Amino acid sequence: MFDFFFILTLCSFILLSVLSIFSFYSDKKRYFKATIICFYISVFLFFITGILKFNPTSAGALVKATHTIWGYFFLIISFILLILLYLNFTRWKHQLKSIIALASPFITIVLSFSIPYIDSQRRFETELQHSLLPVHIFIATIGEILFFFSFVGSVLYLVMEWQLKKKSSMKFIYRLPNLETIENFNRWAISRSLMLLTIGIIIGIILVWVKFSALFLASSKEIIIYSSWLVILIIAYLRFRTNVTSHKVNQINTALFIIVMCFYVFTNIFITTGFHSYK
Amino acid sequence: MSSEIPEIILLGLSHKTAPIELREKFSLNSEDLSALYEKIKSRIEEIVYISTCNRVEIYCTSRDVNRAVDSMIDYLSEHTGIPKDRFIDSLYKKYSRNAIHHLLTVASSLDSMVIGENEILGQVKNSYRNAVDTKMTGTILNRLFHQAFNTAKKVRTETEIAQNPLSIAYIATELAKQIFEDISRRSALLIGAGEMGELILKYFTKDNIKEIIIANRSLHNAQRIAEDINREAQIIPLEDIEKAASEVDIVISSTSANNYIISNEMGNDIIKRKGNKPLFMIDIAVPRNIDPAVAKIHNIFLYNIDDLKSIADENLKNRLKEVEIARQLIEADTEEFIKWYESMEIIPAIKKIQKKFEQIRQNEINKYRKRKLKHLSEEDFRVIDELTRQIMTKTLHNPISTLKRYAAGEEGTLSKKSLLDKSRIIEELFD
Repeated sequence: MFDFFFILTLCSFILLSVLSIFSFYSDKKRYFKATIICFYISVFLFFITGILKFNPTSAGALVKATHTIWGYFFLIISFILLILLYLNFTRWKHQLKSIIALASPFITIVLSFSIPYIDSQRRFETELQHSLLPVHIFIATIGEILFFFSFVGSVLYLVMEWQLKKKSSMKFIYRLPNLETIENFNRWAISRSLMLLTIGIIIGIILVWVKFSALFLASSKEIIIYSSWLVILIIAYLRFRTNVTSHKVNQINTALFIIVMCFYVFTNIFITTGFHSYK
Repeated sequence: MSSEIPEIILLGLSHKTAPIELREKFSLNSEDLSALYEKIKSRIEEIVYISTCNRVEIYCTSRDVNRAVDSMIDYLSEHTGIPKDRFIDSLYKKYSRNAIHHLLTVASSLDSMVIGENEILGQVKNSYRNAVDTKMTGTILNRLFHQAFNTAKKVRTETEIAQNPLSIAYIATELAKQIFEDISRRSALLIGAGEMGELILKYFTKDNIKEIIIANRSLHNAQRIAEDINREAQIIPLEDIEKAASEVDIVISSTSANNYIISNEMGNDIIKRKGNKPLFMIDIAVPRNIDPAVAKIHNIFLYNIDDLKSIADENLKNRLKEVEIARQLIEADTEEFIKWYESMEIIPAIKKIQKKFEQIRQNEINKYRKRKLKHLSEEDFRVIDELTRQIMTKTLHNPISTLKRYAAGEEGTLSKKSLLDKSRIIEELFD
């Protein structure tokens, strides 16, 4: 049953990626409507797949889900979907067309990338059994996901700026949000990303202190989360500085996200040492 | 067309058939239209008059087509004082299908001078509203005009015909909206007193731009522009443009200067002073006023007259690509309307059947009320009346729906002619 739903979900996300890009390209309302319908179907199928995989019977299912590599992929995609759903009800809903066109292929890639790890026996074993652990995981992951959204905004900014500088027809320009809106979205995403990641890290430090009487154990996950935090701090600082152009900040944001993302995946999958790695 | 159903007639002059000198003579006010209606109302049933800067059109329905057309032409000649032979060649006459198709095309802005323009639909709606207010419309034109509004809406939403502006000034303001979230929180600097610059400023004024600064050699001319656009503006001498440009979000330059009044160095200084916030620069002067190298500075978006013109050309190409799709939509809707229109031919036969059944029902109820059922109360008869009416309606529902479907051409087994012949037999049967 799980296999069937997983394949269905993957197909649904592939269709969503194609539809969202096509809807963005064609700028036809009916395709965007179809994209939104496909988005909701994909979200539904995705969570059904999760229910079938984790068979949640208690409140601790969320934490249990993260104890496997595939569960971690599931959690990341869940948060991206939840933020997309949230954006649909905020002032950013008019920008959803372009955001989905970038986010859905990313989700499809992550989902495809997770296939070899569906039945992985490697588990996240930690002695950190504490009621704050789910809060730490939840807040830190949301912080990282918002960093992804600032990356999406940066790509949109660079594309829009390029189009405006290129002085081509307005056909494509009309499909993108205006520059100021994209920049405001980027500031919104990066400032919240910094805030949540900071809170997530502080909770993590408390947990480590309680359990190991230390502030830093130099595990790979700690290193990557501190690095991400530093990168996000630098980007947030640059975004609110007036002597750096938006063009440069968005280039830096795009490049640093890709680098951090590669290290993030590498750390979670290939490094098996440390107190909260998948062993 | 059966003589039972009035024919749709269109008489018109447009920018394609007549010069403005002729078209303007045929502009009718509401009194003229009432006079026309009074004069020909014995020959027509409904009338709607459309008058825009590019066309004058009369849509009407009549059972006596030739005499209705002649009367209208006579009236127009009499009203304008222009002999018929002077305008008859410019006047187009269309009937039924062609008239329907034409109205749908006009409302969808495919027959306009600027294809895809927005004004025409509003003008057609106003004309129709005037006709409705003066009770000059009926079943056919009401349905036809609503169909035209729906088709126009469909063309606008399902094609990109109305997107991508064509006027240089409008393109400039639309580009500004792609850079800034809200124009009403932005400020603009106009350098020089050129006409195009003033026009662009007028468009920004329509969008409630927050602040306007006008820089010109002659402060008197700058003041005149401020009065023309009916907005308060700060007037400054040309020497102060660098400082002013660093305080605004949009710069429009249209002076007759022979050299660059904003150099690359000045552009760099301006963007630094602005704290790297975006600056939209429109250079519509020939020769150019702003060094083209300024376009390379990050966060400065510089467009000159050729850039805007090439966008307009590209936009026009995009609109023309959409025309074919729009025509297909219009064609489909015309066919849909014609189906309904032709189905009206069966209406007299249907009415006769309904009338005959109703007569029988009433007669029988009255007969029983006076004889066998005279002991029943009024309330009982109200129930009997309702019951028999329901039986009659349900009995007739299927035959009438089938007749309507045949008339609309939805059933293929019976030809239209054969159906009409049979409907006449039905009419006779129930006469």
